Amino acid sequence: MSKKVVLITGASSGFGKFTALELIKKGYVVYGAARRIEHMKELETTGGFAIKMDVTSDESVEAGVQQIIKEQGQIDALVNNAGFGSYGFVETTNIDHMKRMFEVNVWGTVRVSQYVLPHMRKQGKGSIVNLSSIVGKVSTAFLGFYAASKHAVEALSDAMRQEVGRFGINVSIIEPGAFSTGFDGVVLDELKLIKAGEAYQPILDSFIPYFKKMYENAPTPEPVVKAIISAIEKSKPKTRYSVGVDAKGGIMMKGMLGDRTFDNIMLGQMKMK
Amino acid sequence: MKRVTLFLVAIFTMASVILNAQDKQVVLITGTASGFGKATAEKLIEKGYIVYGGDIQVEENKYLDKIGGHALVMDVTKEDQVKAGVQKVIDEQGRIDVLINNAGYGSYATIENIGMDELNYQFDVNVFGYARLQQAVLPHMRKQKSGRIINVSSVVGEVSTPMLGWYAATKHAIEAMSDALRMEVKHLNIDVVKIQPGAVKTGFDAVAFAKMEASYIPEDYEELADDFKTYMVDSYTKVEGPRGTADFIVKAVEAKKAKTQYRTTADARLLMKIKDWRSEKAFDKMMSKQLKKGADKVRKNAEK
Repeated sequence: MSKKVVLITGASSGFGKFTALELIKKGYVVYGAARRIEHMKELETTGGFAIKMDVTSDESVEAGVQQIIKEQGQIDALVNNAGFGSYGFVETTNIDHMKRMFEVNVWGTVRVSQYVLPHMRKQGKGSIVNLSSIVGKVSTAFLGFYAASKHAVEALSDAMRQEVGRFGINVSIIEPGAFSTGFDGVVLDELKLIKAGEAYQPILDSFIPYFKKMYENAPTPEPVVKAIISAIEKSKPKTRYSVGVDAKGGIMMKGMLGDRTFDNIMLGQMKMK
Repeated sequence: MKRVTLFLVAIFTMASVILNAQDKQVVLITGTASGFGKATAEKLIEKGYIVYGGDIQVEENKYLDKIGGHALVMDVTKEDQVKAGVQKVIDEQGRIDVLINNAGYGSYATIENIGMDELNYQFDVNVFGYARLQQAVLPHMRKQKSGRIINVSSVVGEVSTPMLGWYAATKHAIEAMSDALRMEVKHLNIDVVKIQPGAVKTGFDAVAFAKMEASYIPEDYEELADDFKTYMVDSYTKVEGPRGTADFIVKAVEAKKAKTQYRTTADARLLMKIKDWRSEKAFDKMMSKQLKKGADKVRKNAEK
């Protein structure tokens, strides 16, 4: 059996990096894509291939996918992981700034899929794994637009799964809760710069310590890596993998409780009730 | 005795003035030239509300001025037009009690084949359009210390199906944005309500099919696209008009304590139940079977 070829976006850090290193260890041919190629040294020294790719650019994505096809002749799995979280209140967040987040999290996921899918259709097989989040299923104060981008990823993944299943292509969604990947540091720095305005300052003031505490106790990302690899390796993977106690619990609670009760619990946790 | 009567009359007069003032709530609706927006505007004007309706289709929106409403020229993707429209309402009425975000748009396409410009535009109207209106209206509602924002979502805000993935993605995003906003403005006495219609004859389908016709569909997807079109065109001849959903929107405006969401059509309620009860893979299978079977049935009937 020939080695499976995997493309992972956002492979320079977080879940993408950990997944890439684990797959290399398992003998996969791994292409890690990221804007900052200099951050993928470890990936290269352990036997992977680093590609400079900006998921918001057609030329960049096309060139990257072309390169893999030229060198390997196939792409067996795509892990759409590139993305970032930008927080803020619905009223006070700059819309252009939010659009940039959608460009990466939502349109980026689709752009890479659009270039990879024709090859997978030709092959008659393939797996696509889209990184969503617990906030792809539940939304809460201060995370509105980030949650909106992940909700959008859920919807397009659901449609994609139903559209390409007939070609032998699997689509799975990964919904991690809070894991320590270094992501929280970036967010905290950003939070301190936010000017919420008088009306919203109380939420922000209670959100920052809440967020800090959540990440201080957050587990390391191995379970997420395991879920991604399971989605790639299984011939019949699950449609979605909720990973982490908080993700499983949050999604279940939201399904069981009414919106108002759920709101109160979330605001209560942030001491805003 | 006379004094008491006079006093009572005075109280009643004052109370009725206050009540009348409350009755005459100021409502801003987007997308009033057709569909849900038009049906809702008509109902609210009939009920005595002060209704402002914004739309990009200026001619089709003019009826509002004739029936006692106020037509605004508004492209929800243009921040200056949104701001000017909201400012006009404030200048003339001094307040906005209710915002109904309804202007929306969709096209049928597979995830693999939709153009990036097209999906950009869909998000700009459906998601960021709602966001622009919210941002323009909220400072006034905060000053008033009251207000209600009603966001028209869809049953595909919670489920997603083939050919509708993009539209569903925008509506999923609206759900998330609405949920967050509801929590953010609760302490300011502002409420947020979601409306989830199923398939309704609003003119949406004509636009969506036209876009689908104009798009590139690779051979592999032809069967799916054909089944979808055959089934949906037929379905749309049978579905209800927008007035039933408008009744729910009016209910969301008037309810003292509104629900967080209203599912406005029988198919929306049924679909959500099925989705909750079945596994996702079973749901996928059911949807694809329904599409295939539905399309075959329409084709057979056409042959007869």
